[in-house]
Amino acid sequence: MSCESRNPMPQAAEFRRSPAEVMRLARMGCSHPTRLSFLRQLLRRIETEGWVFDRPVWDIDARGVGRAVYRMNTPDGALSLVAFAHDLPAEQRSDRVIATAWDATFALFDGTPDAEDLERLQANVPLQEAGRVTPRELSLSRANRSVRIFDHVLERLAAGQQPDERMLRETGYLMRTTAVYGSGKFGAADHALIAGRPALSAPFQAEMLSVWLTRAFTVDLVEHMARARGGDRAVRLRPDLRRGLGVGNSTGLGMAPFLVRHPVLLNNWMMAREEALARVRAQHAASRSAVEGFRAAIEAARVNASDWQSDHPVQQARLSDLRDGLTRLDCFAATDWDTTAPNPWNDMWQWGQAALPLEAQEALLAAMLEPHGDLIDGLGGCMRADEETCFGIDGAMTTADLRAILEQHYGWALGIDYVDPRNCARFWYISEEKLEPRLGERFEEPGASRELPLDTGRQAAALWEALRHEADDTPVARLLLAHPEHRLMVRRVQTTKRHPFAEIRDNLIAADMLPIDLLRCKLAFFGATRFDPRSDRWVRISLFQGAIYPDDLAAGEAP
Amino acid sequence: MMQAIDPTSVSSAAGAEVRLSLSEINALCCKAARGSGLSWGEAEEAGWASAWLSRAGFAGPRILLQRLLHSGRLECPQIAAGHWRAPAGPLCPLRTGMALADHAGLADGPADTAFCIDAVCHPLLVLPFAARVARHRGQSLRIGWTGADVTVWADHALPDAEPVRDPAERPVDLGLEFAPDLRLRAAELARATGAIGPDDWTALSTLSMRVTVPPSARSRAGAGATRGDND
Repeated sequence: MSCESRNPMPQAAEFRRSPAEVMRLARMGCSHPTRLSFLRQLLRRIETEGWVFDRPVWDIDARGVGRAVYRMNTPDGALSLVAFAHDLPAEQRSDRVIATAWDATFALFDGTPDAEDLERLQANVPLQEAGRVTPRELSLSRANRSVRIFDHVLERLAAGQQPDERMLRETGYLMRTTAVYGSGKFGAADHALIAGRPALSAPFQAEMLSVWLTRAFTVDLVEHMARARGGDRAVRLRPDLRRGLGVGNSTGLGMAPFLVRHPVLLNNWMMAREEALARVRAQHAASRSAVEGFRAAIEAARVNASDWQSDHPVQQARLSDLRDGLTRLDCFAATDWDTTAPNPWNDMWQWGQAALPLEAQEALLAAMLEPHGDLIDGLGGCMRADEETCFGIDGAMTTADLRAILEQHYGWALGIDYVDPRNCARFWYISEEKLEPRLGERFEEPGASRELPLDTGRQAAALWEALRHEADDTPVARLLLAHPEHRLMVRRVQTTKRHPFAEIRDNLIAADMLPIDLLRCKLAFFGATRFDPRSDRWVRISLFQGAIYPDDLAAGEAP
Repeated sequence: MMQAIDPTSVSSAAGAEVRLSLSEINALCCKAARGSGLSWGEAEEAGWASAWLSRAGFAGPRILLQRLLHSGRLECPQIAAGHWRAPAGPLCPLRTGMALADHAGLADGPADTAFCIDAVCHPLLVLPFAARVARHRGQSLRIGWTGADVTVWADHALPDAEPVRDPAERPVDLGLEFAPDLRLRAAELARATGAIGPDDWTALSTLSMRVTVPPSARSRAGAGATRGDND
């Protein structure tokens, strides 16, 4: 990681977990959001820099159809969410990427849109993938109502009553976003164009800002419709209930290949989080305020785990592990944890390693980071990646060196028999129909000849085999001239030498691989909670539950 | 179906040139290169190189497309210090460019003394890889062929690119030399237009669709939630 040479806490090195422990799907699939998650980084920046919010356009009719603009004034200028609200027949409501209409559609605009911009966006944004946006747009997204909750809240507010608290808490949102496109998709601004702006340089900041403003829009919309329906009788949502609402998100396999295709970025996310854990474990004392913050974080995790519902058997088992584990953790922290020991946080961590299941171990990680903002928040600045700089291949590297990296970092892949159907049962591909990544069964479906290169373990093993016939001093450049088919894996192996957390150390085409583990890891880095699989490759989550709203910020002049 | 996302067919731009972002160019060209038979690792390089060319103000997708549609067989260079030859026929600019970048730190790669490469087709595609060599060596690199003289810089800046005539399918001999940095002013940061005409988009898209798998009931069923979303 590029920040390594400036690491102010080299003593944390001995407390770091190894990539071999961290980069396994079973553990990645138990990831929890932390204070380094991208939505938390965004909210901290908004509050620290004093961003100012206003809503210059609200042109929505009584049926909830029309458009609105939500604007944040930042030190670098304005960023505006342009929202289009539609009247969607129930039979068209689908979270799948195959949908062609939504309850609401959005674009994050760079600046303040004028009338001409709004007309251009009106002609394109509601079409989503079938429209085009421009480099003035930083994201493109859509959302569907959770009809049951939305209608319930609307009816109650219109009648002057508050909605059912339990119902609200269990679902946790009025609308679910599906795809939130950024980084150059459908003509939007390339990430490189905005990466130099401090407000947008951390990963997915434009997308997170878009979702946070969408959350405010969903509440404004339901309150507006309730007023239109109930007139003077109508009431606004109680502030505590409003605060408890987030934005849902529904996502599928499209997200999974991202982590494989962006190895340096994955490394930097993982390494920042692992460095944060190591710094906390390296502390020689536990201050009273840190212990209180830690216990509050455990309590918040317990409340969240109790509200967290899932019908999926895999997640139900994990939720059971989590609830049991958090109870034991709470008990240990209150009674047996010696906070005056020489390394109290490391003691806590080691107890967790021995006593807790994976779900609760990773929850413990998040809770341990929570009260240590001063120590770790700066690591958020290390989570972006200059992928272009890392893209080149070192052709002067010798075959012997390449073998050594494979032995050190790919041992997990080299001993697998990839001819055994269990070890190559799946193949990743792009569907012709919607150009979205999907996962096929190699021995039951056609299409494996068009496989995507997510079979990283199998490719590592093939490269290892090819190297057996090469002399130790053969340079990689020579090998690739004769064997261009190994170029992709040579790049990954060389990347992993410099970025040890770049590679997921599991066979991604195995029969027992769970795609939702990949999704959970990425979504946790976003800051998602309430991970609720709807199948082994499709998941719902919630974002920003409990967070502030834009109108909670102090009013005033733009910074 | 794929027509739904054809950027040249949306209502605001029907039949006209549209602008793609660099990441769209990279993704489209990568898939088109893979669809043309290159390995995935090479296809990634082709996508990157097309975006690099577009960023530098060249028509990256069109230049790649001409290579992908090249009618004859294109070869790898025969590597030797100072002079890479083409004994088996004209050279592929992608494989030559990749070899050039891969050999940047080797004795038989681009050298301080005169260095030449015989018979390269579509030579503009070599420029992104030459830029990688320049970066590796920390020196600017001047590349010339009949009617063209381009300098790529060590610091990621865009090339000194006077309009360069595209020699179409005719192979050209390249001369390369490291050169002092004589820039009078900093290069522009962004020159990209990303413009692509409907014919080029259609041709690249058709190639890219060769990496996709047609739908089946099973693939559709596995792609979403097992229950409805209307809740």
